[in-house]
Amino acid sequence: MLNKMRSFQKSTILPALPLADSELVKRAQRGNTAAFEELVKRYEHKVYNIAYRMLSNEEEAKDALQDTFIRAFRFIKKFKGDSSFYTWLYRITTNVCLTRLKRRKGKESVTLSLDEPVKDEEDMIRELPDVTHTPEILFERKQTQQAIQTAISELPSEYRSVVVLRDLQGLSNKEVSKALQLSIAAVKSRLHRGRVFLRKKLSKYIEQ
Amino acid sequence: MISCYQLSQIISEFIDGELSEDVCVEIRQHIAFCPDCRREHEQFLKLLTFFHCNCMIQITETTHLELMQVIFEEFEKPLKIEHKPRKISKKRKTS
Repeated sequence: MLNKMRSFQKSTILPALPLADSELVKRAQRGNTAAFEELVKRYEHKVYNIAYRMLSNEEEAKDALQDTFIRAFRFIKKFKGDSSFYTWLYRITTNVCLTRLKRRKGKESVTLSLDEPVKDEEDMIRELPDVTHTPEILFERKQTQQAIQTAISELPSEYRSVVVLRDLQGLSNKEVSKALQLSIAAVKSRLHRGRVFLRKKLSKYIEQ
Repeated sequence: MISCYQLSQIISEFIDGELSEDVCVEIRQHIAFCPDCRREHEQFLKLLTFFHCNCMIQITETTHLELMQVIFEEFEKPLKIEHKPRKISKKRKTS
């Protein structure tokens, strides 16, 4: 199986210079699996982060990551290029997460209690290096991160997707509106309400 | 001059730099004289700083390989041929 996978990965050799997303998409649409794998490598971290912020659960975020790329793989031929590839991909991600949240709502409460700590991120590799390493600062930072994630998990899902894409992933209002198929006015309104909600929830940390 | 309530409604757009310069001047003047709104503005800025400092989680090599495995399995799946039932024309030829 692994040998087959390797041959799948090496099915078409890509040039050394990085290709633009649009070029990789064109190649993937023609059935070039190496091009699709390159797109996966480019966006898997961001897709995982959106899913984790939306779902507040490591295992569910991994499942959402897989669901997102399977859907992208199935439907890449239907992608017309009206928006950037990543906006299209993030739309799939948020839809996958919202579906999971809806399903979860039937089984249990979507929100987490403030007393309930979110999944520990200790063993995950971080992109940004820690400038300060004193145990007190690291502990404080970890607590703040947990508080942020808990507060995000308590946001109503329609605000959560906007805040995650706009404030945590750094998309523009226009990109968020395309990804979530909302008007720019709706994005701005939900973003503001989401921020107001989070400001209240995180007042303890913000007022320090 | 802009009121505290009005400011509270557009503070996000102000922070994101999406308001006209005239409105921004009014807001800056208001913030300079209103301690409550200044505090609110500072809190929003701090909130956004938290988000930007919030580390990006990198997925592990195992998660990447698992992902590639499921995509590979998807690639290997035989194409499903949908057997659509033949449409039976309601119109019958009249002789």
